[in-house]
Amino acid sequence: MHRIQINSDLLRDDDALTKEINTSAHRFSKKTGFPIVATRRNSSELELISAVPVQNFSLFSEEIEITDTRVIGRDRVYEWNKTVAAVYLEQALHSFGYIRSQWPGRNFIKFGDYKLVDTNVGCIRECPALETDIEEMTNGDVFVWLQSYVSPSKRLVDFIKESASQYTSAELSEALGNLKLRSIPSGSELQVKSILLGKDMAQERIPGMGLSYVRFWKETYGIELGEKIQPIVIVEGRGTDYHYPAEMLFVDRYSLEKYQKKSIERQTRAESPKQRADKSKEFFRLLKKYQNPSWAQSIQIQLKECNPTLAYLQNGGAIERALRIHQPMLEFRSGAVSLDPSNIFKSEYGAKCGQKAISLSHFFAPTSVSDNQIDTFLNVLQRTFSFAGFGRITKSPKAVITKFNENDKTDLENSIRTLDTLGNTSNHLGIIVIPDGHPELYFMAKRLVPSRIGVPIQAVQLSSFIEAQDDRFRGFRLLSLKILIKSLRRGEAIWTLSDNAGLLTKRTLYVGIGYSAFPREGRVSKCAAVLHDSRGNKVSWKVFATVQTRTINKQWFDTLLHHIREVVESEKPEKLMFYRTGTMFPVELDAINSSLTGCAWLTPIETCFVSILDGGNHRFFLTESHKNLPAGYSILLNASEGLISSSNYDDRELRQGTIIPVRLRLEFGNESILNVLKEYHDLTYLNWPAPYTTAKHPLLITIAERFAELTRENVSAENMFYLDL
Amino acid sequence: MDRKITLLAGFCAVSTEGKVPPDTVRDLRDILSLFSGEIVSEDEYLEIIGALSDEKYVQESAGLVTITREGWALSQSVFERLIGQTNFENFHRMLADYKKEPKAYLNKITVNIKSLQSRLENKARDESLFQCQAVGIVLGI
Repeated sequence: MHRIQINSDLLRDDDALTKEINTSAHRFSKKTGFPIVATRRNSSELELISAVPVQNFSLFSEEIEITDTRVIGRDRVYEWNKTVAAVYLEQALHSFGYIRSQWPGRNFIKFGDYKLVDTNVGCIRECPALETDIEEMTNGDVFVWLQSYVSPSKRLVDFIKESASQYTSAELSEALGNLKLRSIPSGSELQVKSILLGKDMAQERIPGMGLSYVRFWKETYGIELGEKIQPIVIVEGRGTDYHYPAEMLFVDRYSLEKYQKKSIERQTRAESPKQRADKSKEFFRLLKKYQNPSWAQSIQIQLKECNPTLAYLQNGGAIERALRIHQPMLEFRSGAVSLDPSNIFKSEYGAKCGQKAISLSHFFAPTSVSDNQIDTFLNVLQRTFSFAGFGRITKSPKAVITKFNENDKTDLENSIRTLDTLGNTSNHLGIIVIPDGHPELYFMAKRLVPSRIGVPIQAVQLSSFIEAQDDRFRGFRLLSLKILIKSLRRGEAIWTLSDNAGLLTKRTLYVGIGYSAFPREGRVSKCAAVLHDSRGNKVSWKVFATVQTRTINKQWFDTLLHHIREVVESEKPEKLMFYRTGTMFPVELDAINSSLTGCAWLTPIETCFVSILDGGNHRFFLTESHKNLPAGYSILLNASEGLISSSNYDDRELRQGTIIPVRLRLEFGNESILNVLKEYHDLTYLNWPAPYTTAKHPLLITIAERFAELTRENVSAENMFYLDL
Repeated sequence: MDRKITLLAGFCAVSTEGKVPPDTVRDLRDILSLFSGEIVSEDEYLEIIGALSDEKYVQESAGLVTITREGWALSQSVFERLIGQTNFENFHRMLADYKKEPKAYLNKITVNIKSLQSRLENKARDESLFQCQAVGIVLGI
């Protein structure tokens, strides 16, 4: 162990210092090959623990003097085993050809091992990848969660090859200016300065290094360059230029989609539970052959178990219990209950909101669609809607049928702008037939029709519309349900739970918080808070502008409380349960606590906050069948955390979905983690648009996230009309 | 009688010419839950149908269940052995009422189904820690 005194100048920015300490520790491990734990003892003292003597350690490029050195037992070092495992894995993975995609991320990609896949945006390279998550067990062992997946990337070398026939070199330079490029392996964004076409990778030397490109990438990263002749891209770095083979740069997916004006369509490479288990076994076998010679004297790694049973993990203290939560009963109109959400389509059950009379006021279709085809489509839709007991859809005598040129975005836009605004929008509906592969028309219609004409708009794909002409389209029931959802008013629901979520006795009001995910330039970031009671009744919502960040501060949370006060006071709940997706940082927790402490009207109400984390890298399988765990299977990790299997499936007409675990963390509140899991589980059955299955998240989170996203794009959230859940 | 055989007997009782349409198959989950006195979740239900299908007692395609000759044979032999057992006769009566007027019957039993949930002593039950494995590796350091 070594102690060092931190210069008082560096203490001014605490966050920056913490980040720098972590980065320096990582740099140390990379340079020496040994793990190091760097911990702040008090504000000005840093403790460095390593298995080897630390000769020097620098912060912000300044070498720090070591003031004290002593020997301590490793059992006294917090997170030592976890740190050792992290360094060991990175080195082992590196020797197998995997490179960390971005530090401090946990994803490792085998860039040199790729398959070329043809897509609608040209050639994509798919590489095997592993996501790791390291957890120290209470018995001192370390459990490494492994999740194997396929990582796709569009390499610049392929883009240039495909573009060569389409563009002149001037146009190509301009195209690159419009694309965001990232480097392998760091993933950092780069600015292209110039390109040297057709260079021999074995002959050309990297300026200042003397090594050929082939040798450098092989020796540094273990990557064999696939293209012997390829462009060299010169990018601007800090004070110097960097030279990359075009194969080792990739085009950021979103900038590529924006540039090509189409979304990447590629077959998802979801792995089966058996494939994941087998890849973990294969990795275990590789590790058995791997040895780190420099560690031989100081650190021993023992490979203990692969794909352990829950009993093994419980013995080691990684988990507490495994449970199965019973499915909740659902309640429909007139109190009819069932376990089966698809009963919504049976008129004797019916939707909780009652029947609706909807008037079709607008129909938009490409010019290729005839009036007869529109009538055929509407007839079937009207029949299905009535037959399901949802009410009726009538074609207004003043219905406007608009045909647009599908290849000219401005044609549809101009047509919508010339249409009159409808005064009474209560029961009106517009339908638009979107030609396949034109998502830009979808977003434009979603934004413009509600704001200009004042009616909600339901989109239908042209291929589905054509199938409907000869009775091949099977989605009319779900289309009817989507239309019904668009007619919901505040307080209304499609179905509810027949008892309180989790069968808990306290009258609870649930609050789902959603953000607009990526605040864009010139747009105000929005937050949506969606609330309902213990059974999914009385759905209401508030949408408000926030600062351009996802991080919660006191002012932000005060604003949220201010907005939901009216609803909370009218419902008089005993408990208020907040849900949010994503990690909660300590600084946020402090802000929330301080906001709640200062909120007098909330004093009589118990408050809890649950973070919904991605449990995708926590994979399990049933021993005998190698299947995913069924929905409702829960694993209690500790007093405040648990995993619950819920469905990630949202295609409507099929029943089987991918069941993935969600990790819940009780950030504060007096509820037990078991009750938190029970409540969450039941709320996932409030997933109106997918009557055949549960959802990954409770409905109110789905609505909140969708609202935040749509309102950021200037789509009104006055009512649920505009949602496609 | 296990739930697999109960469900097979149920399919036989409500079938028309050996076929059970998808909607009826789905309705039978509520009735099976009511009869078993515990909630049968969707995946458990699909698992039971899958097991019947694996053992060739039924064939399942797009939600439609067709009872095979083996299925009929097993069901009939069970019927013969169980005649006179009150419990089974109750189930048989439930299915007969359902078959006569499905909508009215499901409406009638809604209160009973609802009470199933409130009868649950524990919303969650412990699962065996040996039948499930985590994907990953354990390292000793």
